[in-house]
Amino acid sequence: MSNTRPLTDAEIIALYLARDESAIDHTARQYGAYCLSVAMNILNSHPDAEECVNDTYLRAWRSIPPQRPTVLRLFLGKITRNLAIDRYREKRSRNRELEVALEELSEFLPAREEDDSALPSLLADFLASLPAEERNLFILRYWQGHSVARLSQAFGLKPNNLSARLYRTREKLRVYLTERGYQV
Amino acid sequence: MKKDLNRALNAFAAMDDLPESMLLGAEQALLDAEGGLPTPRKPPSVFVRFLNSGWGAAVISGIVALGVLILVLRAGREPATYEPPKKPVGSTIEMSTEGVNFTISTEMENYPEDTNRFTVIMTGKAKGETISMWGGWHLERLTAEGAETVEISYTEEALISANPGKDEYATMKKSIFGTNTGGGFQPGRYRLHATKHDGEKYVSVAWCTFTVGDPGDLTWGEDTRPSETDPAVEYPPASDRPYTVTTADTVEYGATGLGITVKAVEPGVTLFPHRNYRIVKLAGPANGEGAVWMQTAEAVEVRPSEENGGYAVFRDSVTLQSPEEWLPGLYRLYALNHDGEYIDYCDFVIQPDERNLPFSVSMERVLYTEADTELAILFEAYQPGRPISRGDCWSLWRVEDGKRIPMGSQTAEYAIEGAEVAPDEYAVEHFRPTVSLVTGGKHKTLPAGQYELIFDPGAVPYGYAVTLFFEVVSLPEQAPESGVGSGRG
Repeated sequence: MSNTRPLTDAEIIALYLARDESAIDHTARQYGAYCLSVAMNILNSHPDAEECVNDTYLRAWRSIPPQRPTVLRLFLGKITRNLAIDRYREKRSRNRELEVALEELSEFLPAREEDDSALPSLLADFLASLPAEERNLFILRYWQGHSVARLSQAFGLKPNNLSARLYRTREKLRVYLTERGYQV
Repeated sequence: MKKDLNRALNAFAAMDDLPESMLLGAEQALLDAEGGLPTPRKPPSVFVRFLNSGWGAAVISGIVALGVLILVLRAGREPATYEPPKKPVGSTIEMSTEGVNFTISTEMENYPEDTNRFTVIMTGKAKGETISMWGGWHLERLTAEGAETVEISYTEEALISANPGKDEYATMKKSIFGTNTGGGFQPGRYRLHATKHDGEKYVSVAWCTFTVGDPGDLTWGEDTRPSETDPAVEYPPASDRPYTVTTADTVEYGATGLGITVKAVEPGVTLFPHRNYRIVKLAGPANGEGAVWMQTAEAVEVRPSEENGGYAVFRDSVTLQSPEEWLPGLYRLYALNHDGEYIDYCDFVIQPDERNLPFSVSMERVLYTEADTELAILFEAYQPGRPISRGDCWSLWRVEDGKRIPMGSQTAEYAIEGAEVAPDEYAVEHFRPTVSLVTGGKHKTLPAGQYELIFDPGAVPYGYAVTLFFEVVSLPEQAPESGVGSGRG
């Protein structure tokens, strides 16, 4: 790695567009640790997470062009997350922390016979109506898959306190969906 | 409520559709929170406080001075002989072969065309046994001083048949890259370990060694690379060949015979070809035992004839037994002499049965110039509502004087497997592979000439390979927009 100056997202994306392989080098340097943490949250296995991150670079290389992400960090995070979820399904991995989050998530899923397709937009509307801190905690827990332990430490909350907050948010969501005709 | 983790996982995955601003806001909140909470520092230990004191510093200085004095005295007494370290330098892995159900090998023995990448082949130890978990890869360069760890940048999964039939060995291929910037591996001897994590550290479960040659040893464009399927092949120089051998370029799937023409390289010479042929598969789905096929018969005398312009020409045929086993793909036929040495070879393609093709492949932009490295390929489904599922496993061949010269291959994982298509829509996929010549770890544009790009779906169970043709036009000539056909192999 000869070039030590961190590049901007636009500069890295320009390298991708020019098919310059150093794009992957810069991506790894600037977002490798982030992608690894995204994958670790889901897989809880360092070797698997590393494979996921490697696959993320490959996927990014093949996606840009034609895609031109505006926020590279988020673009890569989504790829890693999807790859990690696929790997999680494929390997039937066990990640107790993630399973707890999924169990919590399943509390507000509509009954099986109902259509889930409208959920993302409803969820977005619901989250938009929440105070920022409450919304952020929900997303960090159920989108990023962060553990209660890490979030409580980061935000200076007791784990029980954080769990209670998340529970109240889920309860609000349950009411929100019920009011819109969903049987939760 | 009954907990349904699968549905919850789907919902978890679907949260990607949340607005980016929300996701970024949450991430930023976490970054801010973690940045604002410095880890509390523990008070220094008694030992550290002692070191920081004036007495501690004096004692440590004394110990260091005594150590230096002892070293100087020892150096004066002993001869300066080199003693290799007992443990390899830089090696952090331990060996453990318990429960390993595969062996590994590489395709990079003296294989310097692409020194930035090599292919690892994992083969099951027992028939019918599935290749299971491994943790990662660890690469060492073997030197006089021991073994130095070499960074592996990333890996790509290639051909995979990890779940074999009961009479087959599982195989798995993986591409391993040394650097992302194309610097390549330095020439030398290497050892590659497949590793797994035992909970605390990586341990080696299987290993193999290989040599990276000097990039200057071989020149691209010369057919000096050993065959991928038979590294032992030594091909004689053209001047030593008494005859050439050709066959039809393409053979329909299910054909029972292969017509062969043997022609003397000089007019007026009588030939005695031995009718010994060997066929190996170069690309396409695995053929099992049928991949290598031989025919042996006595030599025949062939005299030159006026009808053939004074050349001795002999037409022979090879019967493809069990044609259903001759899957579509690229094959190479070798003509052998009495001693089993290779005289000449030619390639042919067994066409796929179009009835089984799930999609067509064509080039959107079939001609490009020396300044270009990107092709544009279009996949179109034959039936509405049917998703395209393809593997990006392809090899590039330069065509010169009717011969195919290998230019490298690339593999990648499936790109759009299982993509959903509406019942009345035709699936379409645009694919833009980078086609370049990699030498000394650097990508270069291809020289002008005729090329074939062969897709090998590999693990995709359609049983065919697809060949596309294109031409590179020399600059500064004006490159026409089109003109070279596309096709299906």
